[in-house]
Amino acid sequence: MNASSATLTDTAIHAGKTGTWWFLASEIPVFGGLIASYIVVRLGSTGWAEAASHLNFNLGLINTFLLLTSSMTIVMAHAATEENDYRKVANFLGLTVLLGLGFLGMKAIEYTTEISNGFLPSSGIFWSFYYGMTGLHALHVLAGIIVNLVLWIQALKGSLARNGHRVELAGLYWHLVDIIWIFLFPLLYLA
Amino acid sequence: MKQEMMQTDHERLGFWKTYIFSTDHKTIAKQYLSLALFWALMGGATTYLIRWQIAHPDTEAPGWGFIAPDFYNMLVTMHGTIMVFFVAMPILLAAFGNFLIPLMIGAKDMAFPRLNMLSFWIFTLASVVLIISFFVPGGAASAGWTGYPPLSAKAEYTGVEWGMNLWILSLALEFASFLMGGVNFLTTTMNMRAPGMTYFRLPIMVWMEVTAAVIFMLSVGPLIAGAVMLLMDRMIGTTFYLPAGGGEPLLWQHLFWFFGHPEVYVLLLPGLGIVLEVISVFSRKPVFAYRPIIYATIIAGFMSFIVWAHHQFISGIDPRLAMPFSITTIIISVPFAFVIFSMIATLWRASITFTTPLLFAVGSLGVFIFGGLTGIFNGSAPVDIYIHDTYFVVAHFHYTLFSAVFFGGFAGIYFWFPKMFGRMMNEALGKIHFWFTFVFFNAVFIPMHLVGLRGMMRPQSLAGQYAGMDHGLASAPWQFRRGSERLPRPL
Amino acid sequence: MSNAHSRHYLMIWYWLMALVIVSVLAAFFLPKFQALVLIFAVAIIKALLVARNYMHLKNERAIIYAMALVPLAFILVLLFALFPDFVYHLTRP
Repeated sequence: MNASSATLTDTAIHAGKTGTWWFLASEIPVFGGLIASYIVVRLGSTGWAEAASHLNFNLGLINTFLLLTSSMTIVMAHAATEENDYRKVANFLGLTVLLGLGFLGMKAIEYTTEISNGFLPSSGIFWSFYYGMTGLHALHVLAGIIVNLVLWIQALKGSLARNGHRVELAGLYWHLVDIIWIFLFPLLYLA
Repeated sequence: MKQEMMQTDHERLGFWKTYIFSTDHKTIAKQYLSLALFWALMGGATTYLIRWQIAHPDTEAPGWGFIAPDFYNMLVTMHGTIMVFFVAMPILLAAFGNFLIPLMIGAKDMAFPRLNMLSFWIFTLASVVLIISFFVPGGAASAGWTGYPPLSAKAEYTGVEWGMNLWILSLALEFASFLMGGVNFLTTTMNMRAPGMTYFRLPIMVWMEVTAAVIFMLSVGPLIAGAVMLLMDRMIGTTFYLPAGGGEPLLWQHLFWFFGHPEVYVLLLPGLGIVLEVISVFSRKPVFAYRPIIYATIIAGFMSFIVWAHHQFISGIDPRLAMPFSITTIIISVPFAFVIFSMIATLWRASITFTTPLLFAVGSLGVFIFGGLTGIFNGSAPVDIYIHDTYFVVAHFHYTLFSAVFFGGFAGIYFWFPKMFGRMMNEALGKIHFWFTFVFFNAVFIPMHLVGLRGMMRPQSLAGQYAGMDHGLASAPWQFRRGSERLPRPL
Repeated sequence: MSNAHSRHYLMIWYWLMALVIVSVLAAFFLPKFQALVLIFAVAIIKALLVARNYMHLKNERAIIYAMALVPLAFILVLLFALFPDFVYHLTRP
């Protein structure tokens, strides 16, 4: 008697996916609230164009490319789990981790340059939002990198095959982090 | 053969895995309940000191000593924080939800048992952080449970530095714990119902827990964002909420109440669920209007997201926001009124047995009607302008919260205690417990309506110390009341 | 079969890259207001591309869509409710 299939309704979505989507549903208002605050406070001010001009547009652009590409690599990893090709899974997961680390590296360069130029979190309201939004986002990127790293190691060792669906779930989280950056980039760097 | 199979199914796990690091939903529920009852005692201690200071200002409280104004601020802050986040949430959501949902839907356990265990231990960590905040230099947070900046945004304004930072950290951990719990509750209910149990065959308690979980999951985000911003203001000098740096104190209020209002319905719904279940059992009738109650609850859940600024009518918001938020606030009382009427209809012409759980349930119902009615006064901007920040508001929310948390909570505890622990509670003691609670609760809080209307402000350690404020306000609401008595009574 | 999936994901990636370049060009060559409108429209399109194709939202059931859209709707309510207080500043002297 298979207890788990007796209680799972036939048309249910896999528990891991449901759980991950609920988690994402709760993360959307976190960044949504932060971004909404930024938008209204900025619109209600003189525009902060001077402060924003000190951001490194090129590094922001590179980060956009890095993150978008990493979204592609992680969904390729997911496709590979469906082919049961775990070497491919490992390769794509590894790429995703590297791209994520690249993103954090760029951010680190940006932060150190900005701080050494005197643009601290206490330098004004634009900088408060800049460090707040990108900092919180970077922490989420870090968390995602750790998850992807664990899955990569499991793929290399061969133990991921039992739980291949986890790549899709990690991917869902990673895509959300990417989507948030898709909005952060124009809000901070292009506006 | 069958005997052997059954015996190998349950290996003995040892003390630690059975009682401490258990992944069993029933054990985790009891862990939450125990920790919450501990916090209820702590919250009660703050209550004692607050009430002593109000009743006998600037005298020594027996067993404690003098209560300085700063300490009083800390007391009211911690009273609110503890009661809402460390008593009400764990009892109503974590304990009852964890215990009942799998049993009521026919599942073996929650969808993610290890996540469940993790969520309890993170909640415990949050508790430890909050306790530590009492002992750091400067003491615990004292900017109100609502933590409004600029007071809360800079340590020098309250004199509390690490206490407030730890308060924010503790709440962040608590939110993380309950978000995990929410993921668990919702996935379990969606995926693990017994064959044939469609959504509209779920016990009403499950519907209430699930709706509460959804409301919490979707509303807590902006406050998490706001709390990160507050912590950054305090610790690394950002100026999100400090006008001198271009920030906006009002922003915190919006972010806080965007969560804060749905949160009160997160607390209320499980209480309503318990009352409905208990009334149904002891009236020997099915819940009246089961499906409409569910629809009403879902509608109220959606609406709870568009009423929040009624907490900010006199905070300096754009006056044009007052009307829409008053309207939505008045309208949201309709679905809840419907639920209350359904409770009464369930009792109507029923074969009622007045056991302790039923007494608490009916007490909850009566107390909620009172609280809901005063809510209408508060929700209407023209009236709220006079009664905001007076004891009238304190009376209102204690009526509604006591209804859900204490009357509803105890109804649930007395009702499900045999299921949880295998023995009945003492019926005589239970009745004494109920009557004492009911009589003295009303004795304490009914006068608060009156003094509030006469202008007694909150949260001051010495009532009447700001003579100008009290006096100026005292006449206005008094006249409003005198005037309203002359209005024709609608029938 | 998964080869088709992989090709599809790659196609989406090309589109995403192209859209980024469009945004950058708009920022440099268009007047301010049109640039902003275009850039945010592009951002929404990119987000939709990732959500529908990489997160497989277009293959998922309505309930999953709801889990993504309802929180977004509430945030939009919050955003617009904050306009009177922060953008229009009527309460400031």
